[in-house]
Amino acid sequence: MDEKASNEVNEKEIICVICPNSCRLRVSQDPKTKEINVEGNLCPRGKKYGISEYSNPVRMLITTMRVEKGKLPVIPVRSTEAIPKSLLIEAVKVVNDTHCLAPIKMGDILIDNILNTKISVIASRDIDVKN
Amino acid sequence: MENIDVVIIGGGPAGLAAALAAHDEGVSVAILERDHELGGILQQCIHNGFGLRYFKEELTGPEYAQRFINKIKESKINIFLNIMVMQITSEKVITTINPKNGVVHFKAKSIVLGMGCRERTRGAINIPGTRPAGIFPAGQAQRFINIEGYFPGKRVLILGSGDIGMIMARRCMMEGIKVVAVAEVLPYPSGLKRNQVQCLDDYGIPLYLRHTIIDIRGKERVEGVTIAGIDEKWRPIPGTEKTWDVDTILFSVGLIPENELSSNAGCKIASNGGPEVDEFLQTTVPGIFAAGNVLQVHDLVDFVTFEATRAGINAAKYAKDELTIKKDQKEVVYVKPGSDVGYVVPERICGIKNSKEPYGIEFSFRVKNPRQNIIAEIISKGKIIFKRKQKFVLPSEMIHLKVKLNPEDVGEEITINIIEQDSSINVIEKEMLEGS
Repeated sequence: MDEKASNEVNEKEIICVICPNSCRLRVSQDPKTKEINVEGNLCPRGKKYGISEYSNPVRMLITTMRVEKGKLPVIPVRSTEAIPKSLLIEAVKVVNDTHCLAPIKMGDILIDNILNTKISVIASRDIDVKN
Repeated sequence: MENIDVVIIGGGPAGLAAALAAHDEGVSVAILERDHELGGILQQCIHNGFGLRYFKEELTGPEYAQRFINKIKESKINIFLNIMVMQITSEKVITTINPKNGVVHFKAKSIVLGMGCRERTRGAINIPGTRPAGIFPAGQAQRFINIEGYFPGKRVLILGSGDIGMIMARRCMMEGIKVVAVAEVLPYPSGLKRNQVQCLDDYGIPLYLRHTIIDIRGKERVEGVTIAGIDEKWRPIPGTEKTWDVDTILFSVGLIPENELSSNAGCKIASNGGPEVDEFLQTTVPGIFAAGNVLQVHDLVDFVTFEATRAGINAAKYAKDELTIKKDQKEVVYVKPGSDVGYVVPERICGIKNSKEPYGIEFSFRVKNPRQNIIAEIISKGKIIFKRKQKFVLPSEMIHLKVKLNPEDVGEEITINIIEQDSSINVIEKEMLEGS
């Protein structure tokens, strides 16, 4: 997404994904008061989404990790909560550079405190040892 | 020959839920699964968004599957893996083959079909160009990346903007596989807005609506692809061509219920590609039930679970000889898709004519076009017998109607229509609609 800053108002167009209305939000921040203003939303949930997506967009980290001695070569993993969008690609690299060892149970913590976010990366399923 | 009360064909989300539901009814249950593990397609759908309806929390596909698998492992359900079902007869004899024991027969009192669906391929949609390696259905590429751990290619074009296509676009970008574009023949994206924003816009992947592939280049391996805009008759518009060098093309162009076993068993197949069923999810062969994507392609796995739970309970009741309507299906009411409705499940209702009280039925169906401010209405004997207002309907979102109908209001058939909301509806009708 383009995050160009203009001199006066830093306005962004964000499509709300909370419901099928798909409101086109125009979100801007007052340079002096730092207040975030949302226009084009049909409901309060759109305002909340607009503010969060403008000030600190977050996404779940969902990828796979290499498994050693496992029945399968990779295991699906996820972050315990959404991480800042700007860290997503870097976080995937961290996961790709990490290997884990079978057996693994769903929920096992595979990376603790990824990129100092205080968020963990956990296993999405069990993987048994290869016979 | 193995004798089992209820045999479940397929260990995906439908099979898992049906098996647990039948087991809870106190009958013997077996799951026959061709893969080396249970879970089906959920194991490769590693993204989140599953379970909001059923578990009231957001899970990944493998987590959703694991919860059911753990329950199954604690139960007395017999699990057969690496087993291929070759044939099902109307007498419910199941012929299977597996590498250890060769051909094995099962005799069931009732069966739940849970074979799911398969992807529509490039060959099925008449795409011109050469036929090199590097052309995959999107779900197959998803399996390569998420389960088998290797990449299908390095530069990809995706045809089809369904959810699988868009989710694969994000997955590729995350793993460093460049997605040059997503092309879609329809004038609107066929998946969820959320996926368009978070899978395409987030990564700056262009989406070309009303475009299709007009050429694929390459002899051994894909070398390039050309797309073009199409007119209202779906003919390419000269001058709108765009070409990229790519080594891979993914097709996300629809799913087809997998019903060779069902039709060989004698089940009548309905227009949507799934077996015709009654309100018990029983096919036209008594004692054979169907649920999940083999019956109708779902967009949310939670609804597969709900549907398969019903099929599992009814199959167990049939095995115990407790299903109220079994053989006497003479007074059948047929359900017809009306205006702007693609198909309806169930296609026939067996129990309503003999019912002394309002009869509960759960319909699911899809609309043909995206519409706003509509009314879903059920019509029989020329009268509206049920209606519900809805703000949005999309072909990608299945509609569920849970209704109670009075037997005396129902004739030989009923029709489900999608119509515009009439601004001249009187106040009483309006209140009725708001309340429903």
